[in-house]
Formats: sequence, C-alpha cells, structure tokens
Amino acid sequence: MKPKYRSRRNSGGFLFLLPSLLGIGCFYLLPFLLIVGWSFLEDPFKKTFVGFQNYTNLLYNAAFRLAMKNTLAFLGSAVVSALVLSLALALALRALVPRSRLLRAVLLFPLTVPVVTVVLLSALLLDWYGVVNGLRGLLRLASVDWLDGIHARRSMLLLYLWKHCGLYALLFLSALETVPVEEREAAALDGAGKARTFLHIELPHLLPSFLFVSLVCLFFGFRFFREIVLLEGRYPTPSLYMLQHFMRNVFAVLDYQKLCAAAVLLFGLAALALGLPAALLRRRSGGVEFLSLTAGGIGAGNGKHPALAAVFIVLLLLPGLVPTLVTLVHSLAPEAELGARYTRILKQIGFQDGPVKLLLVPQGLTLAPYRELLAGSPLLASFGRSLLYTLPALMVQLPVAVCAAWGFSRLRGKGRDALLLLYLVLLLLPWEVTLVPNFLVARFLGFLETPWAVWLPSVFSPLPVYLLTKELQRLPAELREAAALDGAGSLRTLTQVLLPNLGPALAAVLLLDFIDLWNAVELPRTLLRRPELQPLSVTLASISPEDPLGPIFAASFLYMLPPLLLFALLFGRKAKR
Amino acid sequence: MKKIWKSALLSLILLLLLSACGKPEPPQPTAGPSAAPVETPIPVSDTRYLRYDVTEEAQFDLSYEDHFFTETELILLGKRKGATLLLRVPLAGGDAAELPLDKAYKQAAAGPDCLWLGDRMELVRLDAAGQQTLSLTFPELIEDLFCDETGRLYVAHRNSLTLVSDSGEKESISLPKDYTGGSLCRLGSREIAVFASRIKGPVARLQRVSSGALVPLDVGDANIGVLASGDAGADFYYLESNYMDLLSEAGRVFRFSGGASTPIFDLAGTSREGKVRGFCPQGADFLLVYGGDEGTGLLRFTPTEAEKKILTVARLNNNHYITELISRFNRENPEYYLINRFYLGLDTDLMTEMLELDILAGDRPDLLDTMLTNLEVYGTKGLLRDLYPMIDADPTISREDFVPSVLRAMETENGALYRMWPTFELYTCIEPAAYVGDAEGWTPEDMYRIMEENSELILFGRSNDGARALLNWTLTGVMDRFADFETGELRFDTPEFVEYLAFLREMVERARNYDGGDALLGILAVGSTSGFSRGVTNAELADLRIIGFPTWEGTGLRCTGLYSFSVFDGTGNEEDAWAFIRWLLSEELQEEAGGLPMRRSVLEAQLEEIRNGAPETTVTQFVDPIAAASGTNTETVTYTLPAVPPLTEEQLSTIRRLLDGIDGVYEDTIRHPCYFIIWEECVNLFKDAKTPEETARAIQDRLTIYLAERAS
Repeated sequence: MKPKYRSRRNSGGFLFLLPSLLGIGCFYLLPFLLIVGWSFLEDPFKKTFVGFQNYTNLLYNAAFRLAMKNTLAFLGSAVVSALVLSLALALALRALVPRSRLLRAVLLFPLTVPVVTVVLLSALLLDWYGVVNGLRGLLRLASVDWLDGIHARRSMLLLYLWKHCGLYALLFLSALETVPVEEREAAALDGAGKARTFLHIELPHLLPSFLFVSLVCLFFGFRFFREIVLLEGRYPTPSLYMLQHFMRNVFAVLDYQKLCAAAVLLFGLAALALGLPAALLRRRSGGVEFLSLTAGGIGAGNGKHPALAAVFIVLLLLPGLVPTLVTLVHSLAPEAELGARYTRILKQIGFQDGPVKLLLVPQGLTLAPYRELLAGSPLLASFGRSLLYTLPALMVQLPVAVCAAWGFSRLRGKGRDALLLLYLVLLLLPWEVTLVPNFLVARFLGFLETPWAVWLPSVFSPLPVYLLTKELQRLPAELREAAALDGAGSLRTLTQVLLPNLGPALAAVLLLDFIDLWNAVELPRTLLRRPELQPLSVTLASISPEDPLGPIFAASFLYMLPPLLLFALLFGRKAKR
Repeated sequence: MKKIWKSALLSLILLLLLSACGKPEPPQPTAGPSAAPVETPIPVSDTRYLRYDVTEEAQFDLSYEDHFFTETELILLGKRKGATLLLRVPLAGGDAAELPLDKAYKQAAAGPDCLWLGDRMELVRLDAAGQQTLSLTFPELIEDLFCDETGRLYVAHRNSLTLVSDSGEKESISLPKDYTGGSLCRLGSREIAVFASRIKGPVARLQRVSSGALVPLDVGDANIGVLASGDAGADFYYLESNYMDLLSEAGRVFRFSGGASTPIFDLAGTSREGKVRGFCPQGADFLLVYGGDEGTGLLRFTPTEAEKKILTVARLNNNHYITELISRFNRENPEYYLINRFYLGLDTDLMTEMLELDILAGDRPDLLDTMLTNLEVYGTKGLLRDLYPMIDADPTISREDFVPSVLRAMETENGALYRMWPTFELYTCIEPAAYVGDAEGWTPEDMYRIMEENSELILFGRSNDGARALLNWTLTGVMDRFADFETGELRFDTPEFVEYLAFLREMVERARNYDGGDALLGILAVGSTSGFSRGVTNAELADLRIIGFPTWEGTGLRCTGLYSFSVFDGTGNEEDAWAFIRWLLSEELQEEAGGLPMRRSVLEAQLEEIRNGAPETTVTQFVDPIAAASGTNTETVTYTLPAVPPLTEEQLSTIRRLLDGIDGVYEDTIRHPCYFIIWEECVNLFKDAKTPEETARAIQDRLTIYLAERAS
C-alpha cells in the first residue's frame, strides 16, 4: 500500500507538472496520437482502415530504407565523433587554458551563426569553384566536389561538428569540474598519473555526461537537417538522403500515410534507443553541471605550456570567430564587390569562369547595407518579429519548465520515469512528424497566423523540462530535507532553496532554449505562413536570387547579436561575481 | 538569479519597444485613393449572403471631390465646367439642390444647421442660409472631415486629428508614430474613428476618439478598402480592398461587428463604371456613391431573395489579369461570387504546403489556379475532377470544340483531363534551313551531327540564363525518352543520355568561348494568330525552318497555357466551379483573351482574319494601366505593330501543321520536380566537377529515390 506521504507528494508533484502536461498533451502528444491514428488509414482523404498495411509498405519502400540507413549512419557518426572530439577539446581546454572564460564563450559562437549564413559560407567554401578548391588549386591538387557523393556526408558532418562541438565540450568541461577534488588527490597520492586518473577516476564520473551529451547530439542532429536541405535541396545526393527528406517529400505529394507510419516507427525507435540510456542515467547520480560559462575553472590543468596553449587558442578562435568576422566584413562591403564575387556561385546562373575568392579585405567599407536595413527594410521588421516570438516564449517557458521539473522530482514511482522518457522522445521527434497535426491544432484553436502559434508550442517545449529535471535530481537531497524541517512548503522550497542553486542550470537552459527558438524555421514557416509575419530565421532562409547580398549579410550579422549579447550577459555576470 | 530576472525585464522592455516596429499585424491596405493592392491570403469569411440588385440609380453631371451622408441627404461636392458646386440630394427622392461655391473646396461635411467646407489647410463653416460663420486654418493639409450630431467637427490630417468645437476651438491629437491619417467614420457606438495607415508597410488600423485620445480598434483581418459609418447593427462597414476599389472589381461589402467581419453583399449587381467613393446603409438597402472626373453617381443596392453561390479559387500567383478575369466573372454572373484565396508565401514549396495543409484540414477550395502546382499528384489522389465527364455532360460544349492537339497535351498519361486553359501559346524552335534542310522533324542525333559538322555554330544565342536555357530548351524534347514516370522506368544511365550530356557540356563550352557567329536554334513563342503569321512569314524570308524541338518521339512542338484552372473534387460545388470554366471558354471571352484560343471555332475565325493580312497599326496605351486608372500616372507609350502580310495557302497550312502537331506541354518538363534534380547535376557537369557518365549515374540515382518515395 502506498504511504500517505507519498500520495500527498505525488499529487503535489502533479500540480506543479500540470501546466506542462497540458501543454505537452495539446501541442506534442495529441498531434502525435493523431499521427498514430492516421498511420492505420489508407490516406487522410479516404479514411479507410488498412491495419498495418502502411507499415508493411513503408518497410519495403527503398527510399525509406535508404533514408533510415543514412539517418542512423549520420547520427551515429555525428554522436561518436562529437563525443570524442568534444571530450578531447574539453580536456585540452582544461589542461592548456583552464581559466579562460572568454575562450569558452567563443566555443559557442558557431551556434549563433544563422542557418543562412552557415549555408552561404559553406557554399562559398565548399563549392567546386569555392575557396577550399581554390586553395587546393594553389597546391596543384585536383578540385573535389565537397557537396556531392561521399564527400557531402563528410562535409555535413564537419559542419555539424564545427557548429555544435563547442557546446558539447563545455558540457564535458562542466562535468569534469564536478569530479571531487579529493578523489583526484587520493589518486595522485596513490601515484596515479594523469592518464590513469582520467581513466579510473574521471571517466566513470563522466558516464552520465556521455549519455546526456549523446542526447543533446541527437537533438541537434535532427535539427541540423535544415542546413542539409538548404545546402543540398529536397533530393540530395543519395548519401545525404535523410528521414526528414523522406517525410517532407512524401508530404509534398500528399502521401501522408507514409509520413505517419514513418513517424510512428521513428518514435518507437527513439523510445527504444533512449529507454536504456535513460535507465542508466536514472541509476547514476545523473545529470551534469550544466555548461558553466560561469564555472570558475577549477580544473586539473596548470597552464604550464604557453606555446601549446597559444596554438590551441588560435585553433579554437579560428572556427569560432572567423564566420562571425567574415559575416561582419561582408556586411560592410560594397554590393558591387559582393555581387561580382559571389553572384554566380550563389545563384547558379550564367557561366562560372573560375574559383571564387573569399572577400577578407573589401576595397572600401560602407554602411549602406545597414542604412538600407534601418530604413524600413523588411529584414529589420523580421528581426523585430524574431525577438517578439522568442523572448515572451522564453519568459513563460522557464517558469513552466521549472515547475514541471520540480513536479517531476517530487513524483515517485515507475510512471514518473516513463513520463520523463516520453518527454525525451517527443523532444527528439523531428518537426516534419507533427507538421500537419500542429497545423490542425493551431487552426482549431484559432492561433494560425498569430504569434500564439509559435509561442505556445515553444512555451511547452520538453527540452527545458528534461534538462531542469535532471539538474534538480542532481541537487543534494539534504537541501530539501532541511527546507522541510524549517517548515517550508513546496513552493517556498522551490523558490527559496532550490532555485538559487539552479542558477547556472537556468542560465544554460536559457541559452539552449534561446538558440533553439531563435533559429526556429519550420514552426513559424508553416504556422505563420505569410511573409510579413515571418521571423528573420525564416526570411533569411528564403532569400531569393534577386535579393542584394549586402543587406542579407548585414541582417545576418544583426541576427548573431542577440545570442552573443546573451552569452555576454551570462558570462559577464559570473566574471563580475 | 536577480540579474537573470532583471535581464528578462529588460528584454521585455526591449520587446515592447521593438514590437512598435516589428509587431506582426494583419495586412490591410491603406485607405483613400493611394490604396495599395493587398490580398487577404485567407478570406475573412466565406459565409453565404444574399444577392443585391441595383434598384435605383442617379447620375450627376459633376466631377467628384467629396461627399457626406446625413440622415436625410447626400451632400456631394464637385466641379462642373471648372466651377465648384455643392449638391444636396434628398435620400428619400426628389430633386437635388445646387449651391454654387466661390472656391475650389476639396472636403465637405454637414452638421446640425451648418456646412463645413475644407480647402487644403483652410476650413469654413456656412450656416443654413449659406453665409460664412467661421473660418479656421490648420498647420497641416486636411484629409477628411466628419461632423457629429452635437456639431463637433473632426478634421483628419496626415499626422494628427483636430477636434473643432462649435465655437471654433481646436484640440489636436497626434496619430501614432509611423501612421498616416485617412478617412473618418462614425462607429456604431457613436464614437468617431479615423483610418490610419502604416507608412512603412501595408498595415492599417482604426483609431477611435475616446475622451480626447486615440485608442486603437482591433479590426482583426478586416481588409478595409472603403470605410463607412456603423449603425445599431455594426461597428462599421467596409468595402474590401481591391486593386482600385472600382465598381467593376465587384468587391464585397462587410459588416464589422463584435470583432468579426461578415460579408453582406457584393457590388456585382451593376454595369456602371467608376471608383467607389463611399456608401452607407439605409434600412436593408445600401446607398453607394461612385465617380471621378467623368461624373458622379449614386446607386441603391437592395437585397433580393436569391442567395449567392460562393466559390473559392486557390491562387498560387498574383497575376493581375486573372484577378480581373475573376472580377469580370463575378460581375457578369450575378448568381455566383468567386473569391480569391491567395497562397502567397516566401517560396513555391511553402505556397504548395499551405494549400495542402488546408486540403488536409478539410478546407478544400472549389477551383485551383494550377500554373504552379503539381497536377499529377492531386489527380492521382482523387482530389481533382476529371473535366472530360463534365465537358461530356455539358450540352453547350463538347470535346470537339477544342483544339484537339492541345487538349491531348493537357491530358495526364491515364487520359484524364485535370486542367483547362482558355488560351495557349505554342513553343517551338526555328532553325536555318541551310543546316536542317527540308525535314519536317529531327532527332537529337541530327542536332549533334549538325553541331559537330559546324564547329563555329553555337546552339542558342547566349542569354542571361546561360547554361540553364540550353538545358531547358533541349530537355523538353528528350525527357520522355529517359523517364516514364507512369511505369517508374528510368533510363538516365544509358549511353544515349550520356551522349546527350556530353553534347550539352560541349555546347556550354562553345557558349563560354563565343565571340560572334550563328546560333542553330532560335525560340519561337507564338501567342496570337497575327504573331503566328509574322513568325511564319519572317521565317520564310530569312530561310528559317520551323520544325519543333529535336526529339526522338513525336513532333517536338510544345504548348503552354497562359493561365489554367482545375476543379476540386468533393466540395459539393463542382458543377458551379465548372460554370466558371465554361464561362472562360465562351466564344466572347475567347475572342478577347490574349493567346491562341482553345475553341476551334474562334481559332479558325482568327486564322481566316489573318489570311488577308492586316495593315500597320499604331497602338497607344498607358505605361501603368493601374496607376492611370487612379490618375497618378497617365504617361502613355505609343508603338507601331508592323503590318501582317497576307498569307499564302502554303503558309496557312504550315500554321495548321504546327497547331495540329503539338504533342507536349513545355511546363510539364521544366516544372517537374525531376527537372530540378537534372539541373543541379548538370551544374556539376558544366563546372567540370563531374563527367557525363558520373552525372548520368547521379541523376539516375537521385531520380530513383524520387520514384521510390512514390512507390506504394
């Protein structure tokens, strides 16, 4: 028989969880259940029940099998290489420049680069006539088509690692910093070297972080699809044909039953793949110290290799800062110069006569693109709308997520873990899966073509709930017990005892969510529909060959500023303290 | 933590500041003569309404300046022979009283026992006897006047609103920044509101005057063109915005009440022409003032018992000609009202996605303007009606009435007809007879041989489109050879296709090094019978042959529709939707429409007309017809159409041969999703990033995925 205190505790937990549950139910679960229902119909128009026919057809479909194989291969290679690279990066950072918070912030710069800038710069670098082949030409090496065949997948993988590894490295770094100093000291006293200390002391502590970073890798892996589509189109080279391509393309030809069946299979696969790691995460003490831009640099490193450190810093700064600086330089370059260099390569018209040279030092600097932007350009209005869609959602999302996380940490029993796993799986479902049900829900609620269509699904995003739940689980139980002894109720315990200890985690969640919402393309594109309602992420992703390049680069640079300002805010806060 | 919340607060403030410039608001047109054409993507409401007929009308020999409705009369301000006049027209009937004015006033409003007249920045008040009792000046131009029951006058300026008391005291209220003032009206609540348009964008809103301040009134999706005062049943009325707010556009009048718009009637019930200036409800009727320099008129619209049949047409383009055509249908067919439902997005994919999401949500339009969409998909899914049974069931028309070759070309591979073009164009190419000889058709091998034997030749004149044009114009003749989408058979990895790609690459290379010389192929696009006549005659003079695009199968003669419509299945309105297409195919419309007519009888009549040739014709037309209609740009351009020479029997038979030989639709190749894959791979070929063999393999692989996706 369940003890009374547990029942009280559970009902209290549910109360905290309720807003999030309602939102998740409405904007994630209900749409998904609709999909499950439709996957058993012949098609959405005829509505004839066909049992598992759609699943059978799907499993025999060559395009689906190829997409599944490629998606698993890409995600697999992305996760493995990201784990290895980011851990190496974290260890190097700790060893060589343990106290540089600025460098840690630079690691996050690639995440702020808008999708369209990533695509533009990638095209300029990787095109047949791009900069990389230009450099190979100087070395008398044959040109390579980096965006085709097997090279395409490698290029995309590299792009993915460039964009996200900084974040993962920070997550590892934070986790490394949570390893008790006493254990390291004890190992040192036992005569263990750095390698043995790492293998026997630190690595076991990192296991939950490996699993956690893998989840974040998968989350961003699915979102990376938008870069692949923009660079490679709806029918990419077969090695890059992903599940999202399949889903998007079958939707375009109204084969919705295939999309639904694929979505359900993907859900099942995700639940299966995540169930085990989630169980492992549960058993371990769980969680990581979230990306501590704010952490004080208490690493094991001593910074005794200045030359090596300098090389390392340069290697880190190059990929981190160069895209931002290139965007800035391009935004200040005269339109004629940009057009002369890039028009053909970017717009694929006319006959390209030779390799493109990246513009690093423009012949003259001009503020004309910014003037054009500020003189009522639609891009500026789009920027305003980006803020409008992101900030309010973020401000409501955090309290909802904190309450939900608190609710989760108060709940006991197997149901809680199943529910949390559901959050996790819903989090990983690509947008293509719920496109139609989300549209129907927004239409039913009358939110279509209003900011609510973007705000509400964002407010109830499972991402912050999951992250904060894991973080709350990590906090010592003594904190809650002491609060309870002092007679604090649930709300007081949360607001006065736990929240002050969640500072770094909240900052991290704020950052991740901001980046996620700020870069959202699919949700606003489909639910806001009209060009005059779209945020800058969508407007920039839909540039037309006729658009001048200057204002686009200027808008891209402007687009990078809010995330950078947020970094600065979080970074500056701790530095001051 | 405090800092984070402070930051959040700061962000909120920033947001509020930014929302002033970036807050998304539903697009609405600016009011007044400078109204910008803005379409409502989704109609406010498709609610059915009654048909209104014009039951009374009056014409006034007066060029329009302004008007004002009181409870009992219409006050009209205008000019006749240079003199400014004021007409007081009793609404209950009877003769209008004329009051000559000594000045060219631009605005008029009537109050209790007084009349206000405005001229630029000056305002005068006349008493019942016509004597001036007050004179005021303003620092800004007067845009509109409105006088309420208490005698208080509201003066709208571009940047402010001035309230003038009975004693002449002025109180000014500024309009929100970035908004410009326009028309005034009285709301159902008796408050006065000013229509304010956003300067930097097509966003407008009403600002109501409340306790000496302006309060925004949320008008939702109301697409306001002409504003009218409200009454007990409505906050206000409005005529939906169209391009010019002309009577001929047959716009709908809406009631706005409780935050929602409801259509009441449309202006299709009149054949009068002119710009709608204002209207007001009178019982169940509506009185409407229209006019311009040519005169002013008053119409009374009275409800009938008949309900309008409302149809919707999904539009994925903003073609003004089609919009005009739909307005004309509404005007000439008072039992129907066809509403444009625009799906205009940032790109074609998004536009199609918007339409398909509406279809999935069960909100299917009745008609589809299909120039941008993939018909094959909709047809296969059973979303579109096969038009053949509809033609067969229609006693007024039959399959034999249409140009048979074009009708066949429009069919899908399973013989269904999902689209109808009222008119079409013929696409083919012209080649020097010296190279192609007298052959009536040629294959790609012939083309390869000629180009090989004549290394100085380029394939096409170098154009801005460069390599893309080369692919477009050659692929249209050869695509069928390599892809059978019906059976799912692809042959892009065959030596034949590799040879074609190698040839293309060679031609791109020649074009790169082009420094003068002949081109083998020229494009001939024929959109009229006189154009046909000129093309055939000129080709003969220049010793050119017209024999279609090089192809292994068929003639290589292609056609395209200037505009195209399909009927959605399952809407319950299929027969009514067909009525629209039937109207498009009527002989009268066919004769007037641009392009070659689909109806054989009309085409034959036009061919007969050109048999004897036509003299040189001088044409004068407005540079911008829309701006000309509003008087903002009356610049004209004059050009001469050369004489059409009389045709010989041989030339006439050439034209008939070309028309009868059409066996494909140009767009079906170059708008096919597969075309884009081929183009992307050809870009790599032209860059020398791939060999023809690699390109062919890549195309085959990618198209295999395309087909696999569609496999059941």
